[in-house]
Amino acid sequence: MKKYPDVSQILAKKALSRKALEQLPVNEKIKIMETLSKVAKQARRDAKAVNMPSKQVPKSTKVT
Amino acid sequence: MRKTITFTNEPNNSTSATTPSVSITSAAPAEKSLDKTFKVINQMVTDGVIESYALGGAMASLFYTEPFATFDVDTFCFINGITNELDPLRPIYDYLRPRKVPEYAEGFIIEGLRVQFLPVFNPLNDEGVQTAKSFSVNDVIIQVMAPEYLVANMLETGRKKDHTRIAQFFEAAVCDTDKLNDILSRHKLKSKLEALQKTWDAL
Repeated sequence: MKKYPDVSQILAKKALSRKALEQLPVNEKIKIMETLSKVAKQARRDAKAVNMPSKQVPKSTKVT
Repeated sequence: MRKTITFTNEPNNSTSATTPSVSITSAAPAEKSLDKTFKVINQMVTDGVIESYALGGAMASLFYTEPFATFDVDTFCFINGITNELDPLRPIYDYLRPRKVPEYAEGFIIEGLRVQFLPVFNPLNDEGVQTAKSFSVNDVIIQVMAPEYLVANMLETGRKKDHTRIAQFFEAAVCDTDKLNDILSRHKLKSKLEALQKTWDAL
């Protein structure tokens, strides 16, 4: 079975970071959301799907 | 109804054979954009720190459906040079810290956007990274997790907001049903979707 790294600490810190963001003053949250909203709009406007053959996972592959 | 997307032919899953070396500055750019951030991440692939990656999480959804509110650019990746499985981000820290890239919690602020690098940690996101779709944004290739894997990941995480996002994916009809069913079967997530659909049917 393929071994994967332990990400429990990373995910725990991510959750804490999210809680910290929840505590931000409203005007700070608005600034962040405005920035991300601009980023999202621009990416959606400019994004084009590119036809690169991706590695297909065979349906018969067993996941253990 | 599926949206039509413009396709262009590009070399197989490469970030770009001619990607110039990208200088990373710690100053946040006045104009933040995903392509600027991913130009840096693509350079990390070229430099061998990351083997491959896929944008996941809420930010990935904007490529398929309406954007969800999020603060982070979640980037699932196969990281090269991990020597301690309990410290899988070490190679990324060793690459970005000398370049004075600002940090926050477990992430980095790359070209003004908060990037959370997530080492591939289970077979589901392993497949999700390997089968990522390529998008070009201002000539920067961004690898994005396919919508079926985004839905599967959200089912697995199972927060209430994930359930709301899954509903939006279904309403936008962006998933290939057969592909999704295959993924859910193989990763034992079908019962979670069935349970979720029952709650929707009850409404």
